[in-house]
Amino acid sequence: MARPDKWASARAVWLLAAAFFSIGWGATWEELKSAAGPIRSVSAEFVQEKHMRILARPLISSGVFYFQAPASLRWEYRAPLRNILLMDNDRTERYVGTEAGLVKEAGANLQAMQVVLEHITQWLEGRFDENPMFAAKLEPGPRITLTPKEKAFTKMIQRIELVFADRPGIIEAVIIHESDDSFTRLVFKNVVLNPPIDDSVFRKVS
Amino acid sequence: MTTRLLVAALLLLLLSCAHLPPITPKDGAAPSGTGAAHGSRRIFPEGEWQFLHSIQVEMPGGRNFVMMGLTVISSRLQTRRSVIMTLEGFVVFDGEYDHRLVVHRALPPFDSPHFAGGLMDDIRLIFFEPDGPVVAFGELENGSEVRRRRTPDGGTVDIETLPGGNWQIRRYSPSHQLTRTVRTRHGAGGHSGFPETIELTASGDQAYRLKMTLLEAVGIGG
Repeated sequence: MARPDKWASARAVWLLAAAFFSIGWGATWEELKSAAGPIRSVSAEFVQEKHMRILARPLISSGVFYFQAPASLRWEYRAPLRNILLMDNDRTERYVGTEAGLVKEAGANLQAMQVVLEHITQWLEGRFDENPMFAAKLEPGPRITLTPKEKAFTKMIQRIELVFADRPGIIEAVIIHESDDSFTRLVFKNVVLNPPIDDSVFRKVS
Repeated sequence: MTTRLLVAALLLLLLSCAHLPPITPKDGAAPSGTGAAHGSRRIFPEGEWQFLHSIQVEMPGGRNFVMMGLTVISSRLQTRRSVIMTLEGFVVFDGEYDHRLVVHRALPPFDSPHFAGGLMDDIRLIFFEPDGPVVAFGELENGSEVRRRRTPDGGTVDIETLPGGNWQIRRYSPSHQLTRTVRTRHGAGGHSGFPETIELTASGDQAYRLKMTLLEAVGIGG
């Protein structure tokens, strides 16, 4: 039951969402690129709401996120199930909370995560319109809607909406629409741009 | 060739020898009620519930991974819906059983024809009282109390109560081969009295083990 790259890549969209934190506020692609220029690192907390028509109430997860250019990422869920994805240059690891503590999960799917870092770097620079996976549409607000270019991919993700905060450089929420009755909203808070982040954050789980 | 024949003969012999664990009837005790409760705890949830579990999957060859499992059930309507997600909440399987199986979404490798049916069978075994009459009630050799049901497909389900308010469910094929074992463990905390962990072991050719840890139990409606 090896997990194929197809949806391993799709799940990576959650992580790609992290890149949107630091996109500068602007009404044109050029303004976005310009505002994103000086960003080298990001830290933030997030709350993830999973909405499905069948749910009595949405599923809520929360955690923290760190990014350091060019290719280091820590995406950590702290509740309800602690799990941590560490990406540091060409090394990717996942640790999952079990009764025995955090256990390293091995799997070929993690290799697919490597491509994610390339996207993150690209998007941190505000180059949404250059992403080969998604067609980007900049709308008033501003708000960006990303639609998969490949029709087959729309079966996994219909579209992604990025909602910018009033404060330049900060995104308010990312909404990932999987189907007509299922979407995930990531809401970010305590976003810090260009904080000093120790290298160990991307290499050690503790 | 000779070796293969011997192995085949041995397997046939083993199969023919398969038998259900003996039950010693309790003095004066007769099957009464449904056996759906263990002390103050219900073995099978009553009403409509939404459960979220982390699921540690152990496959043959040492392949292990963790997923999230959302299960919505109604004991009254005998319906169940199962959503399997990555740890990030990305849905890889969404199917329901409401008198017939409907798959709403299935990404590889969860799109095989057998997967959805097998999953729904497992959910049924864990969360729903089995169909069929109680054919035996008493004690196993280890002293545990057990109720044995004969299911409509000719199989057998034993529901064994264990110390600590826990239970074990074993399902046997019509030829008395053990096919599934479900074992619960209750923790100290909340979750409306539902087991903190449920471990399901599938035996036979398609062996696997699911260790489900309850993250959330939400009552739906009243």
